[in-house]
Amino acid sequence: MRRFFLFLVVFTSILLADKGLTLSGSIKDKKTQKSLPNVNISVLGTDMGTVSDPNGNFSIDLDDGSYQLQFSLIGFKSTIKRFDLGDGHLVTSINMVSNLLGKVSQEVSGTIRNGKTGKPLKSANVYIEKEGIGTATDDYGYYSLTDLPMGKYLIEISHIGFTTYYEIINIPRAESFDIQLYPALILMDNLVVTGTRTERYLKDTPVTTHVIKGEKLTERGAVDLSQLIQESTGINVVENQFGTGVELNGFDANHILLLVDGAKVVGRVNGQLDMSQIPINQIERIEIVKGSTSALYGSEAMGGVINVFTKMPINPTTLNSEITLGSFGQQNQSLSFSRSNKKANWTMNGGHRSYGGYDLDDETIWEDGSRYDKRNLGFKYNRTVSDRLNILFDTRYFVETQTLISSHVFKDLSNNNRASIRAKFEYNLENWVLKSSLEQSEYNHGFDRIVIKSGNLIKGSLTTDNLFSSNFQFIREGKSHNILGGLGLDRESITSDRVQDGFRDSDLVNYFFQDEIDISNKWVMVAGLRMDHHSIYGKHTSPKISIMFKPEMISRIRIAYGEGFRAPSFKELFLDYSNISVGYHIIGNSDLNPESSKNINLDIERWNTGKYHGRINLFWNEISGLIDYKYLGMVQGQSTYQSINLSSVSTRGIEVDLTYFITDKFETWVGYSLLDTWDKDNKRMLPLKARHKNQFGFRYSYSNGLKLNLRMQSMGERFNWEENEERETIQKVIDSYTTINTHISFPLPLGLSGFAGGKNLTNYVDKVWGPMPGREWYGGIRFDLTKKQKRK
Amino acid sequence: MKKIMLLLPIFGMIMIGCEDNKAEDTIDESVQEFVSVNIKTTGTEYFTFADNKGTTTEPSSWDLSFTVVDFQPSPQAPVIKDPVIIIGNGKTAAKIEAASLADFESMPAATLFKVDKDGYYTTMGWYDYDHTTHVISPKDYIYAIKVDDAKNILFEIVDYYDANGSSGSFTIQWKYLAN
Repeated sequence: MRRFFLFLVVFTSILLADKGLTLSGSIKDKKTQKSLPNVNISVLGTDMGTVSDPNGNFSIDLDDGSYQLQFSLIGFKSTIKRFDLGDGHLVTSINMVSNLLGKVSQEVSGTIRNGKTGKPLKSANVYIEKEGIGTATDDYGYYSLTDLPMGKYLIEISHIGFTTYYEIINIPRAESFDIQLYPALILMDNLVVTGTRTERYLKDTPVTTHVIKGEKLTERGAVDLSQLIQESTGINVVENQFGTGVELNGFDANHILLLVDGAKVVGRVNGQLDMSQIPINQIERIEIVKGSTSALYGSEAMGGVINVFTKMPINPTTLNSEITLGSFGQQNQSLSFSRSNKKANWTMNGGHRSYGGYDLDDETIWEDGSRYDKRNLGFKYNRTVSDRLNILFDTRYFVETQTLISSHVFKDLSNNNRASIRAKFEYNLENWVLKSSLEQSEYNHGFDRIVIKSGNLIKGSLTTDNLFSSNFQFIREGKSHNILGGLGLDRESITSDRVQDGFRDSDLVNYFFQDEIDISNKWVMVAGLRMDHHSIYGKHTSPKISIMFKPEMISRIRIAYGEGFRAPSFKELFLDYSNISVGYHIIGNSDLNPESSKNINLDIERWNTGKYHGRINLFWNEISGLIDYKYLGMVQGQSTYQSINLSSVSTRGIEVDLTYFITDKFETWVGYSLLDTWDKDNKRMLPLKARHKNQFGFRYSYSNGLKLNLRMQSMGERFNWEENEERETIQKVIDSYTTINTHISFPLPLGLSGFAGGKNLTNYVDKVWGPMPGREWYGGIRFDLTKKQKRK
Repeated sequence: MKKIMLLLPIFGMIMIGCEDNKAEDTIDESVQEFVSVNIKTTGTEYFTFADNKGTTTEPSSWDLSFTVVDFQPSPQAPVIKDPVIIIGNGKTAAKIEAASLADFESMPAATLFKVDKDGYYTTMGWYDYDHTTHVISPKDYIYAIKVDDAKNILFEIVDYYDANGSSGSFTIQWKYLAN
């Protein structure tokens, strides 16, 4: 029955379409009432049109529907009129106003089209900044701004995803102002959140924010978060026994806060979060804010924030799957399924990654790269309860096993898992947004060993980190003041045989307040303050002020001063660990103060969304009270160390980035960073920080969908401080190196696409500082099934 | 060809005959192994090659002792509990770097042999300490020791861990080397 109706509807519409309707009429000069010949008549949004005859009459055949017709003739004001054709012929009469007799037009109107497809662009913004007036194009791409005083105006025509068009126009204006907008190659209209905790366009956020998005997420052959972000300027990935950490602007990994959808990730081992645990198959974008951001996020955000946003489904049904195989036994599989409608959406995703590890020499029994098996599962549900209320529920689970023959004695087994559950509520009032969230997360880190010569399993330590966090936040968007405030309550605990009494917990209450002030069209200032009250280390206050200056539409200068801190960890406060094999004892110190930093950041960026984006960033960080272990002497026959606020360091540097589109299919980029570090107590550079780092790359997109990129990274010389046989401290030089990575992706039939690539093509091998196993190849297949929203 | 085949066994017999003649003077050069007690829990162990045995009570004469000494590289540096093997009283020993027991055939020059005393221990620095894994690994060193005029001994530190992965238990491999 349903099919019959469908058939009937289609059949009827074909008949009606075939039938055709005629719109006809006459055109006259409004003042003289004389007929106007040669008037151009175009049907907006179509390629149809005609010209009036010598008697000023016209006739045009159309299907039924609504149309906008534009009538234009030199010397007359262009006129647009809307017609609804539904029944037979329609006869009309048009009066056009001359603009040659002093009746000049004080309006500007025209049609905006997509330069690539020629189709009209609806909802494009047309804005005259000088007058502070603007409008948006209608369904036919037409706009009109009226009653403008005579003069020169800079008109700005913009649309999300398209390159903004600027031109100086004169009013009065005789002819229509029609523009074609081209799809943007540089995305400056992305919404970002991290810098101000409120949604801002990337180009308009007063806090310098780096975004990794879109093709850069899928075209790097990355399998985890650390690999994904390591090719960004000013970011350094370090691998050590605590996992893979990310350094920003010379700050160590334990000074960087990692958030996933705004929620803190728990599970630091020796202060460091293992970024390789974060899967990337669901990432929509990554926002990075460098420098002290404690004024909004508290401890750990001393060196910056990395905020990972996962995808929110928009299509009714989406199914994605990806399989990758690569060198060293690399295998990745991921699957995600989502449903979405007007009221709600949900996503379920899972992934499995495994790696065979590597041994870079035959001389020793021990291996250089761990074998691993990592699995993740996630579920996210989002519901719009009413126009005002939105709720989100989100849960994630991750489990991994890592094995490594770490010495001639032991094979290490590491078993880690993380679970989190979160509920988030957002309530929108006219000028207010209220947000609150509740979150519970737990991380278990287990470390066992097998004695190689006997095969005996030695059960090691198990550490459990637990975080319960509740947050409330309000945003008030005003005319010139956007105010944000909030409070949070965190309860954290650790269970470990390495802390005194085996268990410790703490409470944290924090308040934050921020005012974003639009001083003028060109100046924006954000001032923020956060206060943390902690049950162990007491109070800490973190201020930050950021100023943005817009010298022109397409450039920004941002300067920020912020103070940050990192709270001492449970282990730094309460550690009690004896290493019997070497004979030393490390104890915590409950009198520790938080580490603190002062940071200045200057950022200058300029772009043309159709051509280039350039940025220069200068930073200076002064960090004091860094927690380290100090030798106390022999206590009860053991060399004893205790954590204290020991050292002060400073880091400063410059980062330069330039992306340039040679054509709209050929993108190139270069980046360079200079980093100076200084350990004030030991009067020497910080270890393992490269002074120079640079990168270069290009991406080419063929019209058949094939995409190819090549990325090159050079890491400058680094130093480490080591003890020689005489136990004297010596400087060890780690040579510079260059790696080249490449990736190619190509469409296949049936919703499939293929990809392949190579990493480290220069075959750089390093056993110690990396470690890097040398050249790697990978290839895989991706399946995308998207059922799009039906057009109404 | 047949002649060669005939000559070979004869030549072989002569060779064996020569060895037989020497047998009275030679000593068993096969590699032997000794595992010490855990010196960190049990205390110093004293070892004699002739018995391939150790004792925790000090005998009147011993070849090696497995023990822990305090070591402070500089007055500011931490005191380290350094596990070492001390050479017995009156005996001299030498260290040979980058060598293994199997391929080492002749004794080092006499000038290299020294006596352990006043904080000097031939075996000091016998291990690499991995700051990441905190594991002690023996370096590729061979130690030569003159026990008496007739017998020279080569030994190698193989391990410092017992079957449960606890440190403090030395495993050495040693063999006699004829003069």
